[in-house]
Amino acid sequence: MGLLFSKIWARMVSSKEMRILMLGLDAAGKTTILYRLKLAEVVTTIPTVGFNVETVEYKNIKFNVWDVGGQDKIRKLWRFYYQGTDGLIFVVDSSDRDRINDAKEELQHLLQHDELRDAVLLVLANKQDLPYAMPAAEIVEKLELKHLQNRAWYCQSTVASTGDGLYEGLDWLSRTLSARQ
Amino acid sequence: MAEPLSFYQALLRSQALESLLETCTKVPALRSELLKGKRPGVDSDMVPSALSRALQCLVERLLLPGALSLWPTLLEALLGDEFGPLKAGSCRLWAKRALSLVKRQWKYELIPLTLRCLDRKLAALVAPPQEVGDTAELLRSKEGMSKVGIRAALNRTRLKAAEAEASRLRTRSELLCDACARLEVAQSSTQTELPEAEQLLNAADVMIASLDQGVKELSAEQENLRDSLNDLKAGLEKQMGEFKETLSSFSAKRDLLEAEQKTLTLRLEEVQMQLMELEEASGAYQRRSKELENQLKENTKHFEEKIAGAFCQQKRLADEKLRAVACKACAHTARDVVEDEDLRRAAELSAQLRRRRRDLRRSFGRYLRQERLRLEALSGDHDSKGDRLERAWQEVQELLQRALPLCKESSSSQKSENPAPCVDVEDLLKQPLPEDAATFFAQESAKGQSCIDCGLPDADWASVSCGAYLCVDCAGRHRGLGVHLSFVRSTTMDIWSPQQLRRMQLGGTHRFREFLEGYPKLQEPHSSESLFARYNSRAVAYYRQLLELQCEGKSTASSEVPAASEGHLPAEASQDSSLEKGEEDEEETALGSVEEELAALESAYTRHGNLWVQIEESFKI
Repeated sequence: MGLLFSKIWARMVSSKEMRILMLGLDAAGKTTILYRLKLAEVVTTIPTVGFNVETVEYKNIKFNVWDVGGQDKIRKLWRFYYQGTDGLIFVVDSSDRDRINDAKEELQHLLQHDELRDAVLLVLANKQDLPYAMPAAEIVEKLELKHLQNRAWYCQSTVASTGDGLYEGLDWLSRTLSARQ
Repeated sequence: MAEPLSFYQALLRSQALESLLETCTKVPALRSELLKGKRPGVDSDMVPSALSRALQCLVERLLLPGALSLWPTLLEALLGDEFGPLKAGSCRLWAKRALSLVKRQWKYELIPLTLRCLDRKLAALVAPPQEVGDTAELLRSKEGMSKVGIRAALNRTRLKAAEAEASRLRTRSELLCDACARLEVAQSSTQTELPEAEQLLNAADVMIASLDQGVKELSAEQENLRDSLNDLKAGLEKQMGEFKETLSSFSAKRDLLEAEQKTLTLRLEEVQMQLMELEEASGAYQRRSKELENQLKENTKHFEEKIAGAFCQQKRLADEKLRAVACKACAHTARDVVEDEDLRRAAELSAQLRRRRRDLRRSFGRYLRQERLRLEALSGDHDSKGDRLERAWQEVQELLQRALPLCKESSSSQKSENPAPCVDVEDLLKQPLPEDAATFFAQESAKGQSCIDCGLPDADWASVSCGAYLCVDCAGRHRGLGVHLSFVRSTTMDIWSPQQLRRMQLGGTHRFREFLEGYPKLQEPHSSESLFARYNSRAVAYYRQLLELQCEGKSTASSEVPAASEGHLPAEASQDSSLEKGEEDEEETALGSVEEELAALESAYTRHGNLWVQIEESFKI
């Protein structure tokens, strides 16, 4: 009885830890999003060579967010970060119409990986403030997200420089991950 | 009662003297001295003083403890030179034996004396006790006693006397036993005396023989020693010769060294002289340095004062400079304001000019049409005079001369003063397409591609849109602009398409920088705002488009190069230019209509002029 109560109490009070992997093409805004969440301010980033990792606490969940560089030749290093990932954030530059197809291919390729089988997918359609940015619905269509099977996914339009939409995305992640527990 | 004899008295009386005399046969002087006193029965007082002295001397030397070392000298004196030198050890042994013989003889002489002493002691023991007197005394002292008591007391005294008698007898018998034992010992020793003496002689013989041998050995040893001495001598002489030689060489060396020492001392003196000189010089220099120090102090004081003055002046100047900088900043802002104003006014004026020109064309066209209609009307009116026609034509011509250049100028004024980018694009287009990104960028970096924004060398990032290289920091800033303004790639970590490489080949930091030099307001972005303004400008938009077209193989851009005064304006404004372009097209059509009207007017004029001439001629006919 006491054990059950303490378990419930722990679930209510103690914060859970989630491993979140944030990927996307280069210059999609991953590092800016990470530090916007961590520091609540816009930092001038330089291209990530390697990775950044920060813990973001939101709604009693500790998100261990891993932000890995997205340059063409270092994308093949992504797979070393797959293990133990609870949620995958895929960041897309909505204004980059030329490379939306590249983004689709990268996403499809990494979702096929066995280690990401159980990870939920949050697509952030970033840079909505730029002219001619594709809206979230168009991103969903271009990335062919509706064809995904056995995958919890959500697409959120964001502006990393103002922070718009980021916490909505985290809300979805925390909801979805808590429900799965 | 005889006194115990002194030692030499006993010696004189004994047989030992005889044996001594026998031994001393070889020394007649001693013997005669000894025999002088030899008179049996004579007391020691009677012995002549010379003999007694000799004896005393002899005996003391012989018998005193520690005097045994004198035996060899005595025996040497006694035995003369016949036996040669004696060995000390064997001689001492022999002498000890001789002495023990002498002592034994003397002991026998003591026996009668001892016996006499014994007899005296025995006689003392035999003295009778005074028994009766004792008993009477006892009776007198114990008068009140009973008979039994008296008897017992008597018996006790008698027992005491018997005990004393017995002890006396025991002592006597013990003394007698001693005497008997001594006598027996004396008797036995006299029996062994002779063989011992013989043995002693034999030992002496052996001794002598051994001494002989010793002498021989010694002589042999002496020979050996002499030989070795000779050898040693020869060796030593040889060594001495050598030493002499070395000594002579040493002396030669010493001479040399002395000479050297002399030179060295001379040298030393010189050096000391020099030292003295140097010391004097150093003293002089110290004085000089002190003077200089004083001078320096004075100078520093002077200059410090001057520096302080200069500081004040500098402060004043700095204040003035600050003021001047503030003034300059004011002036800059003022200039910017004026420039902006100028630009705005210029734009307004050009717009007005364009509008007016359009109006002018329109009205001029209308006027021409009107004039044509007038001409046609005039031609219908035969009564009117020809000079009216001429006047009307002249008016038209005057207006035409003013209006036509104004109308036509508008299109040429739009041409920019800006020269086209001076890179020879034709040549670049002839270059082969780069295939491998790594070798291409290696070649490019060998040319020294620096960052377009901050000028940092060895930039390994690039803005593909502008074909320019970037450092990593500026690459980060460019990525914030959006891909429509600057598409950023890493030269090392990204995969490049041939088109992108072509674009970098055609572009490059140098070309873009040269292009930007035509637009002074787009230099060196220092903030994110100025960076955005630079890459969002019409000039850079034009450049991007130019690169795009050149990559496609077209050598020139379709649109015009933005003017230096307009290049920095945001590119969105250039959308208005398309509208203006439409207006210009209208103007073009308007101008076309003016020219048509003019041609029609001219043809009408000539037609009517000819008609008029024909009419005049017909009138003349």
